[in-house]
Amino acid sequence: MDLFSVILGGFGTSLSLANLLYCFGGVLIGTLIGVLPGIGPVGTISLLLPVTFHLNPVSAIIMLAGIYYGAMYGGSTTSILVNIPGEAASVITCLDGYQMARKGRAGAALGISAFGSFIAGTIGVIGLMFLAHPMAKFALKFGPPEYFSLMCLGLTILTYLGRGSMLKALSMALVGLLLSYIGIDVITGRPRFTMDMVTLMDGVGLVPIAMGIFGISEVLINLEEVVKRDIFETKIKGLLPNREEWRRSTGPILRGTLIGFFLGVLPGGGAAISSFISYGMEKKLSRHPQRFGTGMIEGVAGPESANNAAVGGSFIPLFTLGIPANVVMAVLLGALMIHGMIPGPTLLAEHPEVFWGTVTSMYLGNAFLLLLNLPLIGIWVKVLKVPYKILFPLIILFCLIGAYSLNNRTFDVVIMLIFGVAGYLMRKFGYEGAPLLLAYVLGPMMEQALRQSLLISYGSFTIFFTRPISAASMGIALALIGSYFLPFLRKRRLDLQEETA
Amino acid sequence: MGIGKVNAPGPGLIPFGAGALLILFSLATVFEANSGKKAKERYHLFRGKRWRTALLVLITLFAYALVLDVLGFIMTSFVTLTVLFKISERQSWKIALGASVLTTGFSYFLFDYLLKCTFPRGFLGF
Repeated sequence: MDLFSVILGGFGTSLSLANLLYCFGGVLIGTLIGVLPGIGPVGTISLLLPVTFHLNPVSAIIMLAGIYYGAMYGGSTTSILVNIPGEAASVITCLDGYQMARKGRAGAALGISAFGSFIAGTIGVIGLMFLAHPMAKFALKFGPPEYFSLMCLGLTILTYLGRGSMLKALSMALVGLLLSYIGIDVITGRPRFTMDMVTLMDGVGLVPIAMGIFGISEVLINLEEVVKRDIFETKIKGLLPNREEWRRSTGPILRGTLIGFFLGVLPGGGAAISSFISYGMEKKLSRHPQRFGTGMIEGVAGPESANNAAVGGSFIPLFTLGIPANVVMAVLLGALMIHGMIPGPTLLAEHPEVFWGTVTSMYLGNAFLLLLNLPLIGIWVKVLKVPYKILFPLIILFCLIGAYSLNNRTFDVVIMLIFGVAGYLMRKFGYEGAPLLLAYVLGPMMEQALRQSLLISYGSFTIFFTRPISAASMGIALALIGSYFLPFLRKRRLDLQEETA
Repeated sequence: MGIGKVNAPGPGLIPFGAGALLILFSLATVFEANSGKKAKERYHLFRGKRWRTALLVLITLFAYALVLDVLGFIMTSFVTLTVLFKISERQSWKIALGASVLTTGFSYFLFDYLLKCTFPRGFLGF
């Protein structure tokens, strides 16, 4: 089967009326939650997961993926107009985007972030198409030791690149692992950590955990803050950046795309991190680094492109290895499994329509988003003006409904609330939720891979260091952890964080 | 459940390893927090925050989970929403009640009627 015909087949899937509607619905919801504070793509995707149960898997994944990259577009709008990021990947856009708005260039800032996102998103999808097949072929050679080492590497990179203390992030990853072992042991069939509760037999569930940590706790934190959100009252005019601005943005967009795509592919990388790195890079390359933060268009174009390209990139490990590169992908992995697909090298061969349908729908989605975000920007500005006191009960109600409808039982609501409290306290004490959730999803796979590896090697842990791919991943992971404990390298990491902060 | 032998790893192996590492990291975190210059920078996590609002919301939500199966979706959601709308800032009863009716009705229509999630019906029969 040549590439051209499968792509054509993919468009055949994604262009069906139903899938077009789901794609449009996904990017619409994505933009909406990107614009709204207090709920991000992770919370929303897990919220809508139960709703997709009765859809066919392609439509479900198309819609859920649309939410993810739609949120990237929406998030930038709030950053630029209100100086409050709609979600993590557009935090950095606040710096120069808001300043541009204050200087009367809100239109250009919004425009360049939409065009940059579109270009980067499209290139990212093309990269995804061409890299997926070779990667999947390569991945077929992987055995349990390789998988185990790669997952270790992914978790380590995530904790290394995260903000704040790496110790705390590693601890969270371990908590996530432990949580994932609640329920029936896959190999021996014995219940673990269930405290003799029947409801815990099949685990605590990804959705209640994700909604608790990324939905409820976010609302609680926002409720505490006494912030006035003043929306920049200005007529947004001239969404098309002028010739000079285009000239200055071309480089950042292309560089941002590359950074975003490769960080997206990297396990543990992702949209938020790539936007920070892109900003740091533009600042380094610029002839006027001191003017960053005063409304430089480069500081908007680069990060905004990077976070969209990262979306395309992060689908590669999910579809080819079955390893989610970041938290959103972890939730999507959960979605795929609910629909009976096993992500991994065989997915491309067994369910080509899911992969190519999703990929081609992302082209269409990016085009929808351009239409949604440029001509209709006025609507989103109105949405921004909805006061939080009206908004938060709605977010909470949707979380409650989402948790309940998962299995039609109140137990999941309670689990979600417990994790809401936990997430709230975690945020207070500087613990991140992302490593916990990713580890929760990877947990069972890691355990299986580890135990299978040990069975292959008759109990010798050297198996992780004698096979080249596995040894390389383990080596990098250990080096990253080691670097944290070596004082001079640790200082370098803190410097890096300060630079990008 | 036992961690098994190295050549026959048991179901307790990874939980044991993860738990041991977690203890190690926790001790390291405690050590880190109490040593060096960082120890002096204490800051208040709750001062200046409206944590009471957050607490009230939480209590409301746990109450929601408790009575949901007894009172049914419509009643519980309506009461909870009214409380939530009233909680954060002084909002008139008219708006709070109106918004709750609208939201409950809309979500019931959307999720129960259109999306076919079956919500619990209370002892009142709705």
